[in-house]
Amino acid sequence: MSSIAIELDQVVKEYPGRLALKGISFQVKKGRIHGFLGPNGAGKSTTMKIITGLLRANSGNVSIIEGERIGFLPENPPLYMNMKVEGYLQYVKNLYSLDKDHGGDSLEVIMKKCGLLDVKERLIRNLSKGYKQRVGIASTLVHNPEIIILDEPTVGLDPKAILEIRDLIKELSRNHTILLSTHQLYEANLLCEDITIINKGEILTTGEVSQIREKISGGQRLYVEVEGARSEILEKMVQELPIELRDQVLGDISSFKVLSKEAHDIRSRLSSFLAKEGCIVLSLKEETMDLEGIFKEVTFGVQDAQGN
Amino acid sequence: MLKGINFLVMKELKDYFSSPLVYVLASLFSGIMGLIFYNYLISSNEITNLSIIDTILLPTFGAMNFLLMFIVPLLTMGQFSEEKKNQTLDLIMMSNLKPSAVIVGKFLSTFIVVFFLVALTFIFPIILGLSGFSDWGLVFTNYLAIYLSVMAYISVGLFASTLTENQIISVVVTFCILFALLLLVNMAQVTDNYIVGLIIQYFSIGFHHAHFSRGQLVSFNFIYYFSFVGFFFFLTHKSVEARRW
Repeated sequence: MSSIAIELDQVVKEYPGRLALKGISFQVKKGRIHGFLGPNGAGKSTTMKIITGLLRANSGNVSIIEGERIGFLPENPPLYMNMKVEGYLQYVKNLYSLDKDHGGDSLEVIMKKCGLLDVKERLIRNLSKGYKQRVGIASTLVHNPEIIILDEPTVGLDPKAILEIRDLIKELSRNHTILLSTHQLYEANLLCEDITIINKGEILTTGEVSQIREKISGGQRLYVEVEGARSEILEKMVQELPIELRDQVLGDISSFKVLSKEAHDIRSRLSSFLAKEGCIVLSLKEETMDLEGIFKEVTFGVQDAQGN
Repeated sequence: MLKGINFLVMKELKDYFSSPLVYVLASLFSGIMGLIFYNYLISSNEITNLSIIDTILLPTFGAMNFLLMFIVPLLTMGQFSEEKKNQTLDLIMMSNLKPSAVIVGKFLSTFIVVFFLVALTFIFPIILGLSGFSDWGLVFTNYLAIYLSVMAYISVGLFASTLTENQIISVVVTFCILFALLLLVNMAQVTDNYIVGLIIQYFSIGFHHAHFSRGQLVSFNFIYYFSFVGFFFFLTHKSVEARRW
């Protein structure tokens, strides 16, 4: 299962007067859910369109696993509003099987999977946004593709629909490789095994979620509350211990976050240092990093450089 | 390729005939044409072959041609612009269909619709035939000219609809191009330079249309129409392809 489904190598895309992708490279492994994360305008959709062949890159290579078809759901599902659900899916299936039949599930099975059986006779224009999204996802399945690319599939849906779509994506991941873009970190955290983070047309990090978590958090992240801390003490602490400080709030009870630069446990050294300086440690809590943290971490430097 | 074109034509025809637009335009077209034909018929006080041609047939065909210049862009306006707006053009572009097949498919389906629209007027020459009119060759060349011009209008309309996601803009651009071509005849008449005048004249649709309406089948007119359609096919193709950049 470790073979590569999609590989991008130094892909550059330039729109007139704007460099959208500055030479990005990453891999999507076969059979995995790969999250493609980034703020709006980072280049997610552009990258996806380049993978599907809808856009051409100015330079660089995109290789897709031999002979594999791609099912692509753009940000706005491509629907004919005056078609009925079943008719639309049949149309897409026919459109993609003009040369040969690609096999795969029958429309009935696909509609069942996507929860569309109840609405199959209804006009697409009359469906709710959640159902339209499902029709869009169903339409990516009709030609039995190995790879499914979903561009922000849960944006603008109500909470119930979001849950259903997420379940559907998980269900699909059993038989398909899925590349999923989102700007919701929480969602990527829930769904994805691998992630790639992109910002301003550059890949910030890519790999397995667990590895990235390890790599970025380095050692530990601690949330500390102390009584009697002064800024001099904190400055001294930063000099003496291999740590960084974040989010300082100074007062009677000060709180700050500690990022250890080393791998081993720093809690005992930290608390003994603080005790030596006459501070009372009220709490010392270790934080595990979720995607939100990872994202903040990797975009931190970028934003700093821009002076935000 | 043929299978793909056939598939698209069937789909587009289904779309056309399931939307109210075609029916509205058909009733408008047949209503106006019927009124025009009736008026010319009544106002022509002498029924001879010559007077029928000059006072009924040619003015009716002229009006029909002019009317189609408005109606065809209304049919083509949504062809690509709607697909662009709904992103369904991407859906088609991701299939194995070539852009050229898509363009031909949309062209043919629109032509079929307009063919039936114009066929509603076949009753006019039949009515004239009942009163003794018998110059069927002229009727044939006039219809031929109408259909050739319609092909030209469709090719311009399709091109304009690839330029924008907005149907209104698409239709206005089509009007602009078609009227510019129409006005070339007038421009040719006012220029002092004979050669320039001639060249401008040859570019105009109206000039080529005129031969047909007098009953002449001249080869360069066919060449003109087919190269006209081919040129706009080329532009449309480029415009669709440009989406990938």
